[in-house]
Amino acid sequence: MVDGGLAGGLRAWLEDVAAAAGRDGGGADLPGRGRPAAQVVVRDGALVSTGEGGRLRPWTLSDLRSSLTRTIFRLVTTGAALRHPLDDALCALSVTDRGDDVLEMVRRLGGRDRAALRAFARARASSIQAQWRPVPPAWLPRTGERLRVPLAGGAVSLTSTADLVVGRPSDGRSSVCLVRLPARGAPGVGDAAARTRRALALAETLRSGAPPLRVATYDPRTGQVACDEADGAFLTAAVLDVVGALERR
Amino acid sequence: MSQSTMAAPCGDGLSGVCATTPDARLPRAAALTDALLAAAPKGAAQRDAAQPHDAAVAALGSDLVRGLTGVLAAASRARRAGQASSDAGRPPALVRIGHYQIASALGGPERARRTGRGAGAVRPFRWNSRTARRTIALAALRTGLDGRAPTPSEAVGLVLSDPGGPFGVGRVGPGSCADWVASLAPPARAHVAAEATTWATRLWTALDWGRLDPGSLAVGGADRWWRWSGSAPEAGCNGEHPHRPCRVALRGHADVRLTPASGAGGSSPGGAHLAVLDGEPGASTRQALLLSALVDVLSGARSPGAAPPPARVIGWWPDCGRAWVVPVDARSLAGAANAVVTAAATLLGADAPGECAGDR
Repeated sequence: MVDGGLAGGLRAWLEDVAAAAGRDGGGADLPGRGRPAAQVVVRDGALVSTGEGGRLRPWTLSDLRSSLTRTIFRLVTTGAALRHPLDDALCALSVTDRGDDVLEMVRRLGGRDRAALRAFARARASSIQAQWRPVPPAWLPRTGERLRVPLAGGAVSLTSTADLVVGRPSDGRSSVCLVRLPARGAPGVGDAAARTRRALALAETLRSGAPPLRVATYDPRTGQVACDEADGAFLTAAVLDVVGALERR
Repeated sequence: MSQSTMAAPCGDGLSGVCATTPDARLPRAAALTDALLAAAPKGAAQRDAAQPHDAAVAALGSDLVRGLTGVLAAASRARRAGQASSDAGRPPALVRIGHYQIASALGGPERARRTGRGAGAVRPFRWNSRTARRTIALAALRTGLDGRAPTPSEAVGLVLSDPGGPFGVGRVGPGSCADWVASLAPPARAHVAAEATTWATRLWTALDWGRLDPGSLAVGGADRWWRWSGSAPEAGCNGEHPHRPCRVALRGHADVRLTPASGAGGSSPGGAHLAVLDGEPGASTRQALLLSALVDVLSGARSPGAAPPPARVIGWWPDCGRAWVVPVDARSLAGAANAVVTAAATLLGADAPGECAGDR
């Protein structure tokens, strides 16, 4: 059973830390109040920026590879047929809000780079299809879920992304599982991946009021899946990640 | 376990707003459903729904019209001062103001910094997986509530199997979501379906649908509009100042509408609107949320048969799990009307206007 005070306790702890971190910006998340001028963004348990968390930046080849991988994963887990991985993934990406950037970047690639990208997509599709099957509809699969938890009146924002979420929202028992692919350029194993899992579990706990049943990272490069149960010690470690990130500001 | 609720201070010209942060109460769907079904607050404009206060609504409408007229005049003065006669600076013939425009205008520098776009920037609409997901997901939700599909992903599949059909996404024709979806290749359509399934699943599991009376429930449906037309003198050739008409259309959008039960009294449900929003609440959220109630109030004044306004509007942010419950009363509606005037000023390039008379 879910400890009814767990999420509130974690939030209170984080609010104390975040309030200090965001004090220079001022403001409070009371309705009608303005948001502080600069927002500290802690993404996947690590500080990424101050004040520029949502700004679009130029699309890079690393972004493209990461997006192709995520899109292939999404198509596979939702049961879409993949015949030509690169073409199909690009077709899917073309209808996203950054579709024009994606297509323009691919258009500019030389023949050798494009061939490399095609081989990359084929390898990713092969590895993902070998390890994943379409998720049954009854498991309520959600793909590409964003998690964003404002703290200290929006002065600090904890963000993460789940590539796959399954399970009905908690009715008193932990019932949700989240899967995350490595962030752009990040390793899929080791400390960074572990921190990502903790951050994902923490964000899900804070937003839903219940810790997830399990959080996993999946690295399609190696096929490795690492999984954790989100117990109290795990979530405490996640809070300490955030505290550390904010203290290093 | 009780839901932790905090009320905003009201001494700064703001209406009371409840931000619900139900950390301890599970399932969350119970809390959100309770908010939808809660009785109308005493003294709120919901009395207007059951027993319209014609004078108050008329005053609200005339304050808004006065504000918009002032904006048109200010925009006209600014153009005449800043340019010779040329089409380049002409105001748009039609200004649409919805949630996005309010949030952009009131969010100002904060929003512009986060999005990289100025408050007055107009981004042309185009369908993509994000803009289409809500339309498809709401159609899927209706399909599920009607019992034609057992899960969100199957419901989305049913909708997309015939997007222009009777259980599809609505209007068919050039520029419609139905035509856009029908034009997509299978991988793109699968991606759109995945986005829509995620959106639909969030709302599907966010409410205890069994507690809501299907007869008073509307999921999705067409946006409601309130329109006004005015004009202001323009710089013309040879010192002439022809009047150029400008229409303003307010868009009332809600994802779920619960209409008041007939004969609703002080303790009966007074109706509510629910809007599902991305990201997290911001400085402009409250006013943007109230727009759907404002449109209902103003429309009701023009046509007595129109839908009664809600007792409250609820914003729900699944990304962060927050829900804001905003009571609809005379002061909050006046604040929303002010926000409309501010948004119109931003879109028309006028100076910041004064407050509507009602927002004191």
